[in-house]
Amino acid sequence: MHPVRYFKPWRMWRHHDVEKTYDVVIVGGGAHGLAMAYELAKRGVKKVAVLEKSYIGAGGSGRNTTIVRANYRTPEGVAFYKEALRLYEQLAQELDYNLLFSQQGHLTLAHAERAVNVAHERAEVNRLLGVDSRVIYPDEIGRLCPVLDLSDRPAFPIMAALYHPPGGVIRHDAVVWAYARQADRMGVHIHQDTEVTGVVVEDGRVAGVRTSRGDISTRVVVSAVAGWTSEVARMAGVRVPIVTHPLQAFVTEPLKPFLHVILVSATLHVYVSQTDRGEVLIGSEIEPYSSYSQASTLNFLEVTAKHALELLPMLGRVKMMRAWGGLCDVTPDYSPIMGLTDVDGFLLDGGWGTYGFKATPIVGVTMADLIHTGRVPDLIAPFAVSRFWERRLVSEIAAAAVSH
Amino acid sequence: MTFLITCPNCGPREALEFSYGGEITRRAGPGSSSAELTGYLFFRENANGWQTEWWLHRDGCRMWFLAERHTFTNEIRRTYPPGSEPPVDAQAPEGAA
Amino acid sequence: MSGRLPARPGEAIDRGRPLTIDFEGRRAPAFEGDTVGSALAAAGVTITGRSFKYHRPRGLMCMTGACPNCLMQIDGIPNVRSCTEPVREGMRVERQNAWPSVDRDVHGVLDSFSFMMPPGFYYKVFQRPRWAWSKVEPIIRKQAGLGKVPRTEDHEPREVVNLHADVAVIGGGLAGLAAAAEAAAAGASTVLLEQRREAGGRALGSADDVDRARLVAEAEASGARILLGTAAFGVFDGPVVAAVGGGGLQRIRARHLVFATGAVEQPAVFPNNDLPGVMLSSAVELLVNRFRVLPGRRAVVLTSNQDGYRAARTLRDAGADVFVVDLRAGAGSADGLRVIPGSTILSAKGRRGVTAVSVGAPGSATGQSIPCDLVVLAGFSAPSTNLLAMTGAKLGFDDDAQAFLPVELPPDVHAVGAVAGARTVQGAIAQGRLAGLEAAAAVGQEPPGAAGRMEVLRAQAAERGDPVVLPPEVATGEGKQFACLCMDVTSKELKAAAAEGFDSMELLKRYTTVSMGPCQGKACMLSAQRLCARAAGSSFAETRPTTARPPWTPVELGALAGWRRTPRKETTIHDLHADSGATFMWAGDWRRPHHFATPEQEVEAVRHRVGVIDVSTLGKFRVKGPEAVELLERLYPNRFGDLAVGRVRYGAMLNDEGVILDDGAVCRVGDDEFFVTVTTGNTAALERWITWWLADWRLDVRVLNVTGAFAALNLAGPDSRKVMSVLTDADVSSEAVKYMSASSFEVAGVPSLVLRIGFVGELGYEIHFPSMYGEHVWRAVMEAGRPFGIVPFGLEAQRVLRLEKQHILVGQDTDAESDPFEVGLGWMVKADKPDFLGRRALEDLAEAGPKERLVGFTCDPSWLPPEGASVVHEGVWVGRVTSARRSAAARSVVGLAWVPAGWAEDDTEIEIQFGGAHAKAKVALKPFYDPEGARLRS
Repeated sequence: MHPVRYFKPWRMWRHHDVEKTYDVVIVGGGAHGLAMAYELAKRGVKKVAVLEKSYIGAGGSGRNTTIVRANYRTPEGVAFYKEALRLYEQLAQELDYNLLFSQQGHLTLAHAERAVNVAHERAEVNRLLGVDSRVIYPDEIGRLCPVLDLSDRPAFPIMAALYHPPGGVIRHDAVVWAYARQADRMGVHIHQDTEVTGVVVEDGRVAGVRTSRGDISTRVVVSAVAGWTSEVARMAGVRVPIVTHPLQAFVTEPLKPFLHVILVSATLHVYVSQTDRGEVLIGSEIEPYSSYSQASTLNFLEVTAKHALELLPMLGRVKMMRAWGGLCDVTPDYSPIMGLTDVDGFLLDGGWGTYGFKATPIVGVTMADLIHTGRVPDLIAPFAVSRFWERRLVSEIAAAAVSH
Repeated sequence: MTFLITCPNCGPREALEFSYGGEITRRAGPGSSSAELTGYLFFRENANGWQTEWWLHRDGCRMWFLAERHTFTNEIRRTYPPGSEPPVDAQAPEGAA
Repeated sequence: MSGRLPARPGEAIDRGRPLTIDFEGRRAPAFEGDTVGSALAAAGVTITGRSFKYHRPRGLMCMTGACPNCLMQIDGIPNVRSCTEPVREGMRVERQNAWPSVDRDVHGVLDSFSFMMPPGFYYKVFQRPRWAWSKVEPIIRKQAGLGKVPRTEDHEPREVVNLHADVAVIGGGLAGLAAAAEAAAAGASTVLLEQRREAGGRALGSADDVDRARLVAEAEASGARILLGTAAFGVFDGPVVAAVGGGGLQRIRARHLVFATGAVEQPAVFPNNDLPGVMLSSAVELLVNRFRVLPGRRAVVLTSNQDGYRAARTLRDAGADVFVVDLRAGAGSADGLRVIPGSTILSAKGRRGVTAVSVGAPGSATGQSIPCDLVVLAGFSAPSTNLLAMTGAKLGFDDDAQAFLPVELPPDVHAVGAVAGARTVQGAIAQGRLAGLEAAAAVGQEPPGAAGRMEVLRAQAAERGDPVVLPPEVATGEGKQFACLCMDVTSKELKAAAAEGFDSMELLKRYTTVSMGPCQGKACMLSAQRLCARAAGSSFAETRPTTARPPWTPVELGALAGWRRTPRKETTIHDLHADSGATFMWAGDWRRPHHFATPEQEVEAVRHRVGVIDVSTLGKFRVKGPEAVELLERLYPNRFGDLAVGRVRYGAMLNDEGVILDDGAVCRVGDDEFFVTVTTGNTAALERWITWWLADWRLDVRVLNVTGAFAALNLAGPDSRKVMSVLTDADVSSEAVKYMSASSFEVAGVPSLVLRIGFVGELGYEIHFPSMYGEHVWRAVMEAGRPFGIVPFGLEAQRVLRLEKQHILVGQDTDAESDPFEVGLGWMVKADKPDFLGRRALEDLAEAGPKERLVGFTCDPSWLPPEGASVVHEGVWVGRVTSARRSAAARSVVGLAWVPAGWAEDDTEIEIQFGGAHAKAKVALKPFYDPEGARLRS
């Protein structure tokens, strides 16, 4: 610990003029874009610009429910998120910023036999790949979370749960700021309020981008814009297998801590955790229709409140305090799209659906490696957009019902 | 989802009565290439703007019909049964909302 | 300063009805009509809670439920706004967030150490060494939160009401009352929502009640529906206004929305501006005029307009000693009040309450000290534009109002009164009347002579009042100056954060948590925005207001959850199953018997005698029309053109990826009519699927979902034919009713469609009949079967039976990628058909060949691998078990598993693993029971 240094203000990032040329332009100043910028700078790529149309962390990075976990279903997914979790565990030291990572454990509740089977399957795949994950039953669930209604009174009694002890919550904004701070220190230009309006492609390769603050020439453009991936890819003439769906969440007024584990229920389509401020954070599955609107919907509030009360009926008189929505870029197999495209120099980091935030550090490392060396790292090779043409899908659908 | 959708049979109803069927696609049938098949199965325009899409009046007359919805505002400017697409010149300009 | 002032007309309390509340174990007197806050103020309680971060004492400030200062735990419910909560006899009231008590909170020491906790404090420490945070976090976490989670469960359903009107007025202040009165009087159906229990808004606290009383009477007489205690909390797509009233949710749809949401009075920022005794003029007026409590004997009022003078007169008339500090240099003494012009409050002093203020010219280093026990901040307000902004209304900065006001409204949306910038009572009322008339006219209810009146009103509505003079953003004295009371954020912290790079409102908000507490900016909007602008080096006018998000007023989850019903479906035979002691389970939305006796006994009965299962939940479709065959040919890879009338064929539907969606029986019951069954849980999805393609293809066929119209029983077992012959006069011999036939005859006197199919692998009859006869037929079957030892069986026995036959369950044994070649259904794909769903994809899949296969396996019964167990090869995951049961017939565990395609050969040894346990198993491609199907055909 450094007992005095926090008295001085820390310079987090600066404002710069937009330069005419950059080596790499990253579209999207969220956690992913900033992590890539940081990792690129670490690898000696100096002229990197991150273009953010709003403020850093304005999109999915600041709207997700901050859950980090590695208990996926496919071997490809487990290997990838296991590495993400490992990096997250040491990220605060790496970036010299406390990210308030709280590995309180993650419970995926099963209220139906089918859900129990999926829990078995995920536990097994996880265990074989070295991820701490196991199926537990009501007695142990009750010890981990005494406030849960484990009786057979609920319409959907809890039968078992997939328990993933290293799963936790991390302060999402802090991840954004910490990456931005270190990227800035190493010379990355972070341009907020700078919107990309076009990608210039000449002879099948990237030549630059047009922005609300002038044109930039560059040979490498990375799209890291979550829900807006289709729009940015379209600018480069690249088609993507993505549909944008809204995802919503709300928090209650602060309560004294009573919930010390993350609860997810695939049957009830809710997940619940309590933040370090004491708010109960409740989220749901993506909306069934495509939309670019981030406004909350009344139906979401009603249904999600009802389902949350199925799990935690003592919250009936507790008040919802703030609700918000975000955009998810959903792929047909619920796995991301990372890497090269048919347009030389145009790289994709998208299709994250509801999982993007959890992958941040490993996305930074692997995408930076790809840009720096020109070789696709093994860990992300399965996630190339070409998998759709080759029918090599990586199906996380069974784990995706509502697995935040 | 508290906006209204005008079912061609039943008139304006709450969106909650309907099921969403996704943006319209062109089916790759027999004789199409693998690339055409992949494009049809997985790739979508996903426009941030007007989109022609399928809706089912699930809790009503159970009719499938087409709607032109703005994916940012959720405004619906037109609904019609399949096979009765309105003439192109009747359409509002792109990005009107 | 406890006790009450003498009675006056218009007071809210009923002195004839005293009651007692339990305040932290003490008895506190109150009157009917009091709020908890007013009763406690009368009892002399000045500290109403401790602040979130520094545990500073806080007292009543707004009396309108806007600020976070008086949140209390009331009857076990956390975070109740005690200032507006009506008293009830015996209610238990406790203050929050302090230990051991609010009056002596040991955590108050945090306040003295706050210099050690600059903004972002936690982000900058404890990251090294790696274990530090995990040790510190639980301690810090204990400090979080305000109220305690309720101990009692709440299963109470709440009413949900849908309201439709021509005009909805949101806010029942004077402008809102005027709008509702005009619209309703003109003949428009009108509803008015007012969050307080009385209409009148800001005028409620006024000593002079004339305007309010007149408008309330007018609105009541107009026929407008006035919903008091109904708080609008959001405006959603549609637009739909959502409100909570009487504990229940209300969804309001109206053709015109009139926003009369008023403004929220805001505190000024100066050192120790959070001390108990620092109040808004709204609180002072309500306490004195309505509840007859004098909150202080020596008051200093900071103001720049008539609101302050009104509050000062109210206090003086109630017996207090009053100074008015007027920001305007030209202010002179008025009404005999002592006025200090051109000045502001430089700081406040006190520990558990304010004891003095320092007053001087803005920016001056020192000022004159005035001892006082009450500071009134009067007439600084922020228009409540939040709900309005949710309609898409655009806001712009107004210099005269020093506020963001609506500059562009969506069609059919109106804004009137303070939210629209009105600063005089008459202007606000005129705006309300005008909007009411305009809305009524727009829905075709224009009263005679309206045009002339509207012209007059337009002129009056334009009246704005004097320009607003706000106090300086910060003052010059020593001590914490709070921008945000909920989260304890000071002006200094905002400035430091902006210097670090958090220089936009959104970033400041996220970093310092300013405005993110229970008031969600209601009570700090003005100071937070102005201070953020200042910190970021811009002006108030240049700030971009943050996105308006619901809820404007916090909403109980129980109210949102509404009726709390979980839909469930039951077959028409359900009650009989319950009477027989069945144990039920979920199957999709259905409740179905899992077992009656034991699954083992039930399996034994079906294999050796006869059993019956209620399969009414099967999805059933009637497909009829000249192009019925064409539709089925396109929906299935199977061929149906050659299916004879009276015959049944097993088929599976695929999507265009070639993935199996469902399987079931297709029965030809006429030349152009089919009866199709699908899996229970898939019925709704398949109805959507089939009718969607039908809409696209526009074939001349009708598809009707008749699931609810028909009950169905599966009578199965070697003795089932004997039971059938008791139940019907029809010839049920194997020649008359052949395997895979569909015949129509009466069963137990009920016209039925009888399918001779056998999911469980025995001679069997699937009997479909009108569902109203469910109980009758079930009883008849049980009666007829009694001599043969018939038993009812449940889903568990059915699963064992079908697994012994290796019949797959779509969705359990298959997933979103399984194609027919992989699961051994390649035989049904008729590639010579011109087209069917999945055909094109199957071409590619057939060429590539399956990579994985679903195969049967057997293993030693000493260990039953759970469904979901792994198939491993040299420690690597290569597949999974989808179904497994102990089989008496096979004397082993039987199951289905996905394995690499090359292993799909009889007797291939595979290794199954789960947790620490593992077992060797053998692939078996043929059914474990009656592999040739002789029993089915018998």
